[in-house]
Amino acid sequence: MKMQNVMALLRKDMRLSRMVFLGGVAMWPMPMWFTLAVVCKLYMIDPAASGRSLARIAGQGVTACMMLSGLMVAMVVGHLMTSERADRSSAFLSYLPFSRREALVSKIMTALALATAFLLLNIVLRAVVLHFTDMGSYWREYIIVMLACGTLIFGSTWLAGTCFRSGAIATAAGLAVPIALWMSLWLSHFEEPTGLFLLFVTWSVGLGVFFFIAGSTVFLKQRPEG
Amino acid sequence: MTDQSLAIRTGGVTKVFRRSPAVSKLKLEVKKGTVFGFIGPNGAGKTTAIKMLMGLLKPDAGEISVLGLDPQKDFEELKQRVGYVPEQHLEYRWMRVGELIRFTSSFYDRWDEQMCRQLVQQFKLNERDKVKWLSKGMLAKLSLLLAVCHEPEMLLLDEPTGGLDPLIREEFLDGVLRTVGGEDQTVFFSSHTISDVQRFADTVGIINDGELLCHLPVETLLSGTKRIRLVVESGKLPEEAVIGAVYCHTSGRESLLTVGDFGPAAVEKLKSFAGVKVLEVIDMGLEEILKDYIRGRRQSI
Amino acid sequence: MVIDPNSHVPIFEQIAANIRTGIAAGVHQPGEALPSLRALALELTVNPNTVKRAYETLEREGLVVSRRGVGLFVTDDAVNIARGKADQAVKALFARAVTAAKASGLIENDIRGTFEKALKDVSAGGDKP
Repeated sequence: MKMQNVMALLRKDMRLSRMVFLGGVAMWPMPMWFTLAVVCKLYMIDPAASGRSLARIAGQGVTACMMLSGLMVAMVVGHLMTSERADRSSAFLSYLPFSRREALVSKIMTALALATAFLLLNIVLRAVVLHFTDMGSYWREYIIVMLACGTLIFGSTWLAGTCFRSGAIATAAGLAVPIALWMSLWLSHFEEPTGLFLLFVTWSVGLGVFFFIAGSTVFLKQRPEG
Repeated sequence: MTDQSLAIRTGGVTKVFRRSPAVSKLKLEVKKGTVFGFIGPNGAGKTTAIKMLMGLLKPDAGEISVLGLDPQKDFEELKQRVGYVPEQHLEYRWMRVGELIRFTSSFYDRWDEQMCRQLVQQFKLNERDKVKWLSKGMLAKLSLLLAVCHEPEMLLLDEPTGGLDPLIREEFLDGVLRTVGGEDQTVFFSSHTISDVQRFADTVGIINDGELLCHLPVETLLSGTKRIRLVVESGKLPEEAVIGAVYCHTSGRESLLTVGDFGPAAVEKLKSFAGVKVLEVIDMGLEEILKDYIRGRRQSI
Repeated sequence: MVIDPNSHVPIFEQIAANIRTGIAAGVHQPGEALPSLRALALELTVNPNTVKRAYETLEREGLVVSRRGVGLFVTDDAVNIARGKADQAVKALFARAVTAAKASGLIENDIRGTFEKALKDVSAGGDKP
C-alpha cells in the first residue's frame, strides 16, 4: 500500500465531502438556537423561573442537537460512499493505478474523521451548556450513548452506501435500521426497562461493527464500472 | 516473432453479454512501436475488446497479454505503463482542471511535468475551469493529456475523436503524434473516422459482430483489396470464382467482385472462366474496403 | 504538400509521389535537405512510420541519400530519375485511360483524336479535364 496514493485519495475524499459536511455543521446547532430562544423568552417572562426547568429545556436542546448530528453523520457517510458511483466518476477511478484497499483506507479515514468532528462538536456544546446551567453531569452515559448510536448509524450507512448507488437511499437505510432496532428493543422491554440500557449499547455497537466490516468487504470486492 | 516484440497478444478471447457474444475468439498481435487501428461498425465489439486489454472487463475465455502483463492480475502495473483514453469521458465533474491533473498525477511513478504544462498551453486548457464546464473537444484533449503525461509505453484510445469537429480532431491527433513519435511507443485505437485510421495506422483490424475479419498492414490491405467489375453472360458467377472473395454484388449481368488478394494471378483466374469478361479493376479506399468486408460477412451468414 | 487520407493510394506512396514530382519540377533542388521525419509527420498529421516508408522508397529509387545524423538530401541526378518515374506514371495513366475508353466502345482513331485535342487544349493554357 502506497502512502502517496492514500494521501491523494484522502485529499479527494475530503474535498468530495466538504459541502455535505459543512452543511451538516451549519444545520446541527439549529435545535440549540431554538432552545435558547425559548429559554430567553421564559427568562424574560419570569426571571425567577426555576433554574431547574430552564436547565431541563437546555438539556433537551443538547439532546436534540445530538440526534440531529446522527442524521448529519448518515448524510456525510452516505454521500461519501455513493456519490462517485452516482455520477460515474468511479469509472474514471478504475483507470488509475491504485488498489481497492487504498481506496477503502482513504474512505475509512475520511468518514471517521468527519464523524469524530460531530462527536467533538456535541461534547463541546454539552460542556458549554453545563457551564451555564446545572443539568447534572451524566458525562459517562452521554458519551456512551453517543458512541453506541454513532457506531450503529455509521455502520448501517456504511453498508447501505456500498449496496446502493443513491446517497439519499443509503442515508435513509442507514437511519432506518438503527431506528428500527431501538424501537423494537424499547417496545419489547417496555414493561421492565432495567438492563435495557446495556442491551441497547451492546446491540448498537455489535451490529454497527458488523455492518461496517460487511460494508468494507463488499467495497473491496466491488468493481467500479469501468 | 518473439513475445518480447509484441505489445499486445490475445488468443481466443471471448466475452459474452446476455447470451450473445460481444467478442468472439479474438486473436490480435500488435508489435511494439506500431500503430494499430481497429475499425468496425457500432456494437462490433471494439470497446469491449479495449476494455479487456485494459483489465476493466474480464474475458470469459482466452488469454490476453499486454506489454507482457496479464491485465487481470497485474492491473496496477499495467495502468502505470498504459495510457487509456475512454470513449466517454467521465472525470470528476466538480473538480477543476488543475485539480484533476494534480490528483491524477499523484498516482503515477513517472509524470512529465514539462509535457503537461506544454499540453495545457497547446490545448488551451484553463486550469481554473471546472471539468463540467468543458466542451466535448476540451474534455477529449484533457483525457488525452491525463493519458500521455505519465510516459506510457502504450496508448489505448477508444474512439478518441468521436463527435469532435474536424479542427479539434486535428489538434487531438497532433497531440497524440507529438507524444508518440518514434519512442517505441505502441498505439492501439478504435475509430469510426476512417481517414484517421488511414493516416495513423500501420496495421488495421476489421471487426464485425465480435469477429475479427481481417488483420493486415494498411498498404497490404489497400493494394491487395480491389473491386473487379465483371460481365457474366449467364448472370451468375461460378462458385470457384467467388470462393475466398471478400464480397460479391451482382445486378443483372454485371458483378462487382471484391477480392482481398489481388494480383495478376487473380485476374487471370477470372478470365479463365467461360462467359466471364473482366471490365475493369477498381481501387478501393479504406472506407469502401471496410464496408465490403462487413457486407461480405453479412452475406455469408 | 497535401495528402488525401481517403484515397486508395497508401499515404506513403502519396508522399513519395509528391516529393518525386517536386524534384522533377525543381521544388526540391539537388543538395537540399528534405524535412525531418517528425517534422513532416507533424505537418501532415500522419504516422511517422509512414513518412519513414516514403523516404525509404525514395532512397531506394536513388532520389535521395541519407547522411547519418544530418538527414536526407536530394541527389544530383535526382531530377533525371524523377522525370523518368513521372514518365512511367503517365504511361500507366494513359494505359488506364485507353482501357476505359476501349471498354466504353471507342475505337483507336477516336481515342487518338481525343488525345490530340486534349494536348492542344492544355498547351494553349487551361486545365480542361
